[in-house]
Amino acid sequence: MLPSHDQRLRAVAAPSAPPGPLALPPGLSAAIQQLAIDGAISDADLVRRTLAGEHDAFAALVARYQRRAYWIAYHVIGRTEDARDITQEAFTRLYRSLAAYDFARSFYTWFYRIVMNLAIDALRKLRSARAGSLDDLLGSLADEREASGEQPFLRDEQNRRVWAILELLDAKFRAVLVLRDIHGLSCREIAPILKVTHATARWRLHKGRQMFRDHWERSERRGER
Amino acid sequence: MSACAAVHPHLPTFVAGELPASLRAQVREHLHQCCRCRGEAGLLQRAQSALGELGNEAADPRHEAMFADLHQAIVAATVVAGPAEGVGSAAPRAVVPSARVVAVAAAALLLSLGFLIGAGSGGSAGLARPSRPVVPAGATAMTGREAIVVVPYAGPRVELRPLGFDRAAAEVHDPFARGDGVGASGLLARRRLRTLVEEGAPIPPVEPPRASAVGADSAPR
Repeated sequence: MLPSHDQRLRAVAAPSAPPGPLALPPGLSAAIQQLAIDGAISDADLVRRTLAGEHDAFAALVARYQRRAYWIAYHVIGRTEDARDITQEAFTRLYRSLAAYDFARSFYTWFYRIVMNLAIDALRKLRSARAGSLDDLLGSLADEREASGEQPFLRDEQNRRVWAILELLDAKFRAVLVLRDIHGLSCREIAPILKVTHATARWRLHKGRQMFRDHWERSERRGER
Repeated sequence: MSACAAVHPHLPTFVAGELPASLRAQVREHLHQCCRCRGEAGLLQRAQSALGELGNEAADPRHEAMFADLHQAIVAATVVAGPAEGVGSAAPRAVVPSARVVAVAAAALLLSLGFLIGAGSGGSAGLARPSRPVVPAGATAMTGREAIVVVPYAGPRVELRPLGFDRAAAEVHDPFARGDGVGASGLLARRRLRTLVEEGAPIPPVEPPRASAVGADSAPR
């Protein structure tokens, strides 16, 4: 049986944490924490409370979803600062358009769509701004991550190869791979997030995996030499 | 099709654990026998596993401080900065039609008004016209000189009169007329049809067209 979205949310938000309360950012007030971790209070309830003027409800929504939004944005764009900006911008847009939320639809699908749109746009802008060769691109990426000093795990050879291959993929294939193979969403969940049909989402996943596998094979061969 | 070719397309979904149980058993059985497909499945597994490993970055506890700052920044940029549209009002937002909807409604209203006005005046509302000639009530009792038939026609309206009373014909320039009273075809010819009265009344002779209208171009200067 596939895990529910809530279970995956908890798992991705804090994979090392034991099953139980959702991992929240430190320093939250008790009221916000209570709202965020209470399983009986749905996302739609938090939206209703926010619309009624309860500020803590929106702070609880942020606490629930900011990690997931950040990591999705990060795996699409590949840069920590940009992922932070995208997360913040996504919540700002969410807050501004909260009154337009359709309560008959899933909240996280709606919110992830905002995040993905921002992330894919940022990735395309980033790529068009880089006119240099791929070697320059990959070199500069590696330098940025190492210079930040925040993610020494990226020095790991395997992760570097994965990032290099993701950089080679088109944004639409990369988005599906990130959502499915890294964040564990199903194609039925991915389709409305990317605003495509279920069949298109499946085809992009299949094609994306094929391309990733081809690049990975070449990368392994280069590593053996 | 060989067994390898049949199994090969299913390998990525098999490795990802997304294949239906019936197919999964077939693929597994084939992998037990085929070294080459097993190698391919191993490659796919390594690639997908490496990709999935990126998700483990989220476990790094050093991000906790960043997430605390991010939460504060988001709340400051949204809730603290001021209520957004619709936030803080329990009542649902009033539905405001978009500019496009208003424009379409206005265009439809103007179109229907124009249609009604045109139909009322009998001017350009072509659709309101009858599809067949309309004979006024009592036309059969009239003499041939007085009967009038209104011909529905998209162009200018024409009154058909018996020959000999055809002043209108003389006033219309007919480029195909030969000047001898014999029209060429079309509207003018139809206008000269003596279709109304065959009741024995004497029909006056055809008057020659006036020189000022028909054949004016060919007149000597």
